[in-house]
Amino acid sequence: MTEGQDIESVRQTLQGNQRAFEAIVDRYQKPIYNVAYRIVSSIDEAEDITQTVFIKAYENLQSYNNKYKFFSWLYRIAINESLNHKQSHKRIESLKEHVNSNDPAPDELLYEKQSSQALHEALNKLKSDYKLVIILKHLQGLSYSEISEVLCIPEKTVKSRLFSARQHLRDKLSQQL
Amino acid sequence: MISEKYIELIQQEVDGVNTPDQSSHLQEYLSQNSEAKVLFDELLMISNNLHEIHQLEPSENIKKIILNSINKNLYLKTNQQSLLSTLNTNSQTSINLQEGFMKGKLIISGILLAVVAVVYISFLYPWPANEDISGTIGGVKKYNAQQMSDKDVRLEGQTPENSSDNSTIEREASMFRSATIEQQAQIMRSADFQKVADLYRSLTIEKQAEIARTADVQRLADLYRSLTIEKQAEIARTADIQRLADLYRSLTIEKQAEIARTADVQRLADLYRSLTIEKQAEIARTADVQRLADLYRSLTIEKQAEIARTADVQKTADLYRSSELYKQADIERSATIERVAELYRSLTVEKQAEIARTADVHRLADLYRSLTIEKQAEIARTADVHRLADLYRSLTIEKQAEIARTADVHRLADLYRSLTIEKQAEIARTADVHRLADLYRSLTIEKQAEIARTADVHRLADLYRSAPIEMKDQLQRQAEIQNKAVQE
Repeated sequence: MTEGQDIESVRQTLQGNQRAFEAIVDRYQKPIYNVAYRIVSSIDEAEDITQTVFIKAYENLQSYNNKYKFFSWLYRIAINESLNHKQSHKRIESLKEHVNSNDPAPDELLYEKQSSQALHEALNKLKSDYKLVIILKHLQGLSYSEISEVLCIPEKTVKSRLFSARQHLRDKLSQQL
Repeated sequence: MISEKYIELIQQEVDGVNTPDQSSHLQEYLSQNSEAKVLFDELLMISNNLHEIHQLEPSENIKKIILNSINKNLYLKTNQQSLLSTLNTNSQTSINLQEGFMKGKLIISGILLAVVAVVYISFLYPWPANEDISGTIGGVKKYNAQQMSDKDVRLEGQTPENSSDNSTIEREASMFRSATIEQQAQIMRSADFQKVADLYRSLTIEKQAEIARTADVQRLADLYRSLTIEKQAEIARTADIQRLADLYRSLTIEKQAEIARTADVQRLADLYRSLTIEKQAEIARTADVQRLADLYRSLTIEKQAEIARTADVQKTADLYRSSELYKQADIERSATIERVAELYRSLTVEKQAEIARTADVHRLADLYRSLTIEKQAEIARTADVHRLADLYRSLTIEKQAEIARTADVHRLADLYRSLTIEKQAEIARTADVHRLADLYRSLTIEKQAEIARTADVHRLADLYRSAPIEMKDQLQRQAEIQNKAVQE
């Protein structure tokens, strides 16, 4: 992550330079999209969330405190947005449950086949707290301290949560075999 | 049972953050504790599996949608500006807006050309110090007879150790110039520009000028364009603007024009915007406005328009306001009204509106008043009344009122009377009567009286008679409403 670049991009965006914000989008659209996808498990919804995250970030850029890392701030928006989305979507899904099947879309299915489907399913069954640390650690490559900043929890909690998450993941995987 | 300490070590080992000591300590423990070893292996396997999950590529449209959805004006400060009232309103509108263009254009050209100068002249010292090129210049060894050493660099307040400094630098420069464009680019990409800039600054001004004079601008421009935007920005940041400006001024007008002609305006504008406001102001302060104006005029209309299109109006206006008054006056005086008007007209109405919105009405009014009556009349004559009226209407009522309040009614009346009857009629036809009446009412009673006193009744009557029937009806209705209101 390029902290100096981020802060400079934020500063320039606040001065009205659109290209600086474009650079932020270039830098973070992929990780934010992947975080969203891992939480909501839908390509279309992950795209919608990614758009919302950047629009919200832009609108609230003045409230960003550069004492913290910019990407932590952005990830936090993405996680909150994804969890809120999932929560509201869950209610809609429960209403639609008896009408529609829950089968994933063909492109999602293809993707699942290509990557480890069992692992993906096991990950999906984890509690949000556990899922988040796994996503941030393994799929986004964040350090303990970075995860601690994104999730606003002590580093010690990150470690213990990560340990539990891995054990749960192991259990889920062994149940599937 | 595995103690908490070892669970943490296992976890850290899986994540690859243990120190070598911690790792060897853990390995020793694992060899003695089979339960811990099983746990470690399982966690490691899960971790490895997770790493195999691929990252998805977001759709290409996401970025476009985001950029189209954000409010682009959110962080653009909306300063405001001028115009006037009654029939005279429109002529003043033209004047103030025109003035705004003059400023905008010349500042833009001035600043961008200054940037061109800075960036390209920054290029005129592209031979790096020995330690910076040791890795890269190897590929061009045949050009590398002898590199510069520390003794070749004269620091501030230090006298040269021997008289061979200049010849060493000349040799280096000559070698660099004889290299192919790829080799030069290779050297440039690996260069430590801060060091190179220090080296360059250690030369005498005469030497620097000599280097500048012998530069093959086209080649340097090619070289420059082949670099990444970050590298270009790095070069710009290390530049000693005052010195570069001196250097630039010491070149012939032809050389300066050559530099200007080869500029990739869009890239330079990007580069310029990536600098800090202080650096931008520094560039603006060192600009020789008269010379830049000459230079600007020597460019083709397309090049000028390109410069105008890439301008960041708000920032340019801020910069302009931060420059000394005499400098601003220089800009005003050097303007060729027709050319500026032509340029302005070549812009989109959105760009024109952007320029109008950023104008500082009081300052423009002061500036305008400082011009001769002939210059003012010239501005009025070249105005595209319909376009200006559109522009004026696109402003807020507060901005319009501000314009009206700053108007020098007597002068405007003189100006208005100096126009042809056709121009006056054209102005009258484009007037939005209701809005003007609102505007008029928002003025102080003294200002209204002043306007009434300056009115040339006979001329107005002529004008009124020449107006289309719809406008007469509209005026009639307006008058009836006002009379009724007065009677009540």
